[in-house]
Amino acid sequence: MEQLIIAGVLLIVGYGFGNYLETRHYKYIRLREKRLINKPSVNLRSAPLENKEVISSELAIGSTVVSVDYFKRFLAGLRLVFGGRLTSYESLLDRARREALLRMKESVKNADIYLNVRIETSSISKGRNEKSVGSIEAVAYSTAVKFKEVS
Amino acid sequence: MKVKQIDTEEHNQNVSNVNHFKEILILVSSIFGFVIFLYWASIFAVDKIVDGLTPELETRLFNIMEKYPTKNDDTASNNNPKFIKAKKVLNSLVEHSSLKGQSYRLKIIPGKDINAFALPGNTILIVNELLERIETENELAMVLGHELGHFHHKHHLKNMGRQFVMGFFSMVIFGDNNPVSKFFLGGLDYTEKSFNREQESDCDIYGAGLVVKKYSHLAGAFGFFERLKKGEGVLHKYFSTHPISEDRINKVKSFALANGFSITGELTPLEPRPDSL
Repeated sequence: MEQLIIAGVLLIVGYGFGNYLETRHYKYIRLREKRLINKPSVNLRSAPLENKEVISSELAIGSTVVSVDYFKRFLAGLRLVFGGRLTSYESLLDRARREALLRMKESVKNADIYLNVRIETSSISKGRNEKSVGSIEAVAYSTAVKFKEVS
Repeated sequence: MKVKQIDTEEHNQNVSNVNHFKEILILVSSIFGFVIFLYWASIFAVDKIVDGLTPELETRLFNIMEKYPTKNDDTASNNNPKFIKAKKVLNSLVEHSSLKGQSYRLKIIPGKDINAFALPGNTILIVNELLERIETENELAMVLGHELGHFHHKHHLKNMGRQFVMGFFSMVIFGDNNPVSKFFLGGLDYTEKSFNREQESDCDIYGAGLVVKKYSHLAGAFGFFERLKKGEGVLHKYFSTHPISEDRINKVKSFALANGFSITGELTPLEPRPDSL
């Protein structure tokens, strides 16, 4: 019975806090994405120059670590039995990738375009011990290119 | 080439628009149904196996218990007059019971719980606190008779089988570090407690039967429960493996009434009376 109560409380707390933090994070992500929408990031190796002169290029890198709440872990645990899409983890990965991309752009603020963008995701916790945490790290890196301004 | 960044605010194709509550409800119900079916099927099988286990085979299987004595100092126990008395009463009750011919080991374990345990290998453990609180031989006989009831109904083996099945299901289906296993184990633990309370009631009846055979009445058998009743809270019946003391007293009284047993009579003290020395 005690276990049932603990699990129930953790589910409610996990859902409440997880939902609140996710909504707040998405709001913040969208705000910054709008602000940086004119700074494209592409996975092309060479720049679509259109006769523009490159005056600087440097490595832009951004990374983030996001953890999942108890409710989503619980849901994912159930999914492990039946299989199917792990929908509860989709937003976790989405947030991590987008946050890493934004941080990458913010690392070189004066760039005009971010070329050869790569995103890598890794699990922070592996193994099955009691203290493992369901969190992921997303790293985004690219070549930040600054064009010469045409007067 | 014109490069345009996509605005993801309108539609995020990477995150499914699903109702997680609905998803969790469907999955939990499916798993509960499946696990409960398998669980009860396994329990049924375990109970059948246990019913077919002869006392001799049980003794042979669980003789290993002998090699791992409890932490208490046997010398100290043997000097405890209540323990010596308990051993005598136990042997006498066994002679009156369906378990006649078998030998049972009695051990005291330190602790503050008011409890006793029937373990595989014909072993009864009594927590020191329980022994200390017993005031008459009749109360002692009721407690020991109750524990013998567990052996008569083979509850010790059935419970062990159930715990094994529970652990097995939890490990195999969810793994040892899945939050879902905590949830399901909690649910099964709750149903187990209600099963345990039924078992305890059966043993009370069995114990009362033995007390009547030994003393020809049930006087004093409730004294211990009466004292326990005072310390029980409102939520006791939901969280305890034992029924509330009031229910236990009522059930034993009903049993006495139905069988015409007297609930009054002379109480036997734990210490011999000075005039009988």
